Amino acid sequence: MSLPATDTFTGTDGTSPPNANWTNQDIGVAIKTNAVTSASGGSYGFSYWSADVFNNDQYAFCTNVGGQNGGPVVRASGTNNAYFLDENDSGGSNTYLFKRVAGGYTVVQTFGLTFAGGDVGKISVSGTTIKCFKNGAQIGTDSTDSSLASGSAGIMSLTASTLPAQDSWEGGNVGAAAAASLLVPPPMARIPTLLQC
Amino acid sequence: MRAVRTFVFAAVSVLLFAASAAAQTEMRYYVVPRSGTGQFPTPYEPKYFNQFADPSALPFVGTMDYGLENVFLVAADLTPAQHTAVTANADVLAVPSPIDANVSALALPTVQAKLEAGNIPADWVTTAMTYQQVLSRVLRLVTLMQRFNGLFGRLFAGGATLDTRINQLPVNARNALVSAAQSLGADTSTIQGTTLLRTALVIVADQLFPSGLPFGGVTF
Repeated sequence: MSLPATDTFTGTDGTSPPNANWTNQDIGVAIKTNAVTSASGGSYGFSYWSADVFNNDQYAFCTNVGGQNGGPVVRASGTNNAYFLDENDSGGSNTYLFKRVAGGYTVVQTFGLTFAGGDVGKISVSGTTIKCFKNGAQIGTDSTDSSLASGSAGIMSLTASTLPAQDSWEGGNVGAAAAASLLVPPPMARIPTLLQC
Repeated sequence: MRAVRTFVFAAVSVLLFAASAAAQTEMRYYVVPRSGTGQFPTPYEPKYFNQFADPSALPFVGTMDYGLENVFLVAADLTPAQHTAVTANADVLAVPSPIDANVSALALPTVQAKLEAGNIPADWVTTAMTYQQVLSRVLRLVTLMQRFNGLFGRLFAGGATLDTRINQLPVNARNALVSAAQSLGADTSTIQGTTLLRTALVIVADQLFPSGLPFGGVTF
């Protein structure tokens, strides 16, 4: 395999991790209607791409399905470490940047917005600077956090396992070209900004 | 014509009022305790700004935890009323505005005591320093503690205090502290076994982020 990595999660419902390229954290995510959702609804499920080794500076993005919960993940490692963009949490009313360190969850930034189906959420980390994006436009301000120095890009969801939540994932190294295949589905206007890391 | 003038006057008045209201907020900085258990539905958040657990809590622009210690730094764009409300709490250290003002002799003992209560070394704070200079060093201490947390866990556990010597720390904690400092680009060669933790942390912090550290939309 090579980076950037992509996945559209085509497969049998309930498959977790989605395929052999992924490793679960906690309960992981599972395939649902050719997308992914939490492997156990109501619990935070993470999976990270383990078929390639990422640089420390990396990004991930994915497309929200149906306004459900979840989002892209960076610097995931072990079983309990990651930074993640948590779309539509708090009963679907807000979006957060979280860090997960040794199993503890900490709010890093609150964005005061939600994601609709088709919206693309992205998170990138360079050094100790974390940026989050909605449809290519940065949301909030740059966050500084130094807890996690390395890891892999991934995806997470809290959504009930009966509903698809996130799809069309890509993870790669900051500064590297995005995969062309996943840049086709979003509206054309988003493409140039999706390349920003 | 008169109706048009009335409409324009009303519209301008609304815009001026809105601009005035918006101008009433000001970016402020606070040191507050941590709230939450670290698990859902109460993740770690800054106390009084814990919007995940309590949507009615104050909004913030940026926040940084001091590792697993009971301290958060907060950057928040607040109205005077919100600022007054949060500073009414005895466990809040509010940084005066403007931040380029010097620490006053009256405030110095409070600043030092509240930082040290959270295991942030503060014996170096003097009235010759501006609050911005104080914040700048504290932010770098925070990033060091975050990396230590990611590598090891909590530093001030098992009886360790700011006045503990490096060689009094458990070996694995000592090694993790060196790894945390070096992974952030710091040179630890001047730190000896007899160096106090408070001194060692500042030696490392002063080497970090030489080109600036962004926090709440401002670079320190």
